[in-house]
Amino acid sequence: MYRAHCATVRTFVHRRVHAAVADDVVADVFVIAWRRLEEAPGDELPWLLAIARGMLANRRRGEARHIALRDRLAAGTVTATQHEPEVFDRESALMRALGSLNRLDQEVLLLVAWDGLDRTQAASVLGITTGLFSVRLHRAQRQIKRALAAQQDTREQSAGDPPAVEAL
Amino acid sequence: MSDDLLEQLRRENPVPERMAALPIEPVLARLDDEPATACRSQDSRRSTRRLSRVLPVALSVAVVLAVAGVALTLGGHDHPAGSSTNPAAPPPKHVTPRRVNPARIARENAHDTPLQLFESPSLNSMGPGTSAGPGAPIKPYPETVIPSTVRELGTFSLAGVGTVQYWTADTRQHGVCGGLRLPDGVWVQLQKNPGDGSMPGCWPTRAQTGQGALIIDGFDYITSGVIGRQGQRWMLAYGAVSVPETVTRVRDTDSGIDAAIVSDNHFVIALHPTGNDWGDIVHLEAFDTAGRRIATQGKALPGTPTGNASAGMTSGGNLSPARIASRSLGNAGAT
Repeated sequence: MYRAHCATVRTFVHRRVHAAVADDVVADVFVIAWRRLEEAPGDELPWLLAIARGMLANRRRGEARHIALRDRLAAGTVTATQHEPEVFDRESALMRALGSLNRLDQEVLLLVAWDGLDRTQAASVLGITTGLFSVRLHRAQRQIKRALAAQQDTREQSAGDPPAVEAL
Repeated sequence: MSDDLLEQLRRENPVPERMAALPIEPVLARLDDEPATACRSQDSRRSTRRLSRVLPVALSVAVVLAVAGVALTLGGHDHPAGSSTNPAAPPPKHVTPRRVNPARIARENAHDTPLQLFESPSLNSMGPGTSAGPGAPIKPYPETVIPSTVRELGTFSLAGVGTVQYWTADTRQHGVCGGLRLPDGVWVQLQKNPGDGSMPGCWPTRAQTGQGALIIDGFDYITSGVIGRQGQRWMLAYGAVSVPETVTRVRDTDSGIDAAIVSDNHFVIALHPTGNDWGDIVHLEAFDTAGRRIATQGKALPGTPTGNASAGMTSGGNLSPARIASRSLGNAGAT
């Protein structure tokens, strides 16, 4: 299982978390998989990716708690907090639009676009039926198009507005 | 349009190419570092799952046997009740159905329990462990395990092997039982036989067997070899220290390594054997709660003979056989 899927799991994790911690997450995924080996289904890859997804979610929650604690401890002394770079901190309009979606819609799109999973596998990663996945994929595509359109409108609006100095 | 969108997303993929696989060592290292509690919870989960699989089968067998028994009993009514008391009469045809205890079947099906290991007649009749020197008498000493004393003394972790459980028990003959269980459930030196050394089971103490031949130094143990996944070689010495005091520390004087587990005067010490020698390479010392050295391998305990077979010394015989876990039974004569 490790030989067959490690590269794919590693790529999946590296797409979603900072490279400095990604390999740690990958190792943890296979430790969890080892512990739950009896639960492994025939198609192991979606199962492994679901474990990875859960670990990434745990990690995000842990980081959020850590940042909140750090902020509380540093209250009044330090105003700036450093957040881990997000994969969506990019300039492209598409990535900004993607970043504006909720996590589930993001994941639905990325499992297909980045990880190259078919709908059945992707549905298995998310623990939903293939039919429901198709619905969610359609909805996520609609959402991202709306977000792109909203960005376009904002750009056009800001381009059409007179500069503030001139208004004065 | 939708396909265009997905295609655009594909072009934004931060890691477009499939990465190389991660070396497996970090994963193995994490498995080695698994806390004992995790292993135990895993084991308990496995036991529960195994029980849940076995119990329905056992219950089915019980029902079938009960039905068969009733049928046979009903069918045997034509035989006189007193026929079995008449030696000249033919043996009764009716068969008493075997009493079935589903829990017992389930337990038996959960094979390789520590009790079964210690009760195995092929494993519990050998002489003392490797601390017996050349010329030590090796003769059968049957040991009867006391089931209620079977217990897990602790776990320890070995690089390349994982978390190892140390199980022990007492015997009615005041012998010592010990076995090391690997993470996959097999016993060290049994099913896989990965290394060299003695098989687990029960063995008598030197005080029982070594009179007139052995220096009774208090150490009653056996050694087993284990080879890790990356070829790590481990030599494990495990057993008991038969002294009246409470042993809190056991160390190998050659390597300076402390025992991984010291509990109930039992110990396990894990050493890397040097070269190709898997033999008796330990020189053990035991210490009490105050840090006093109370036993030294090769040095007779107080009140015991100080000679050996070649010197023709005889046993003083005043050291009771050690039953380590229950002081009330053993060591009364030790000084």
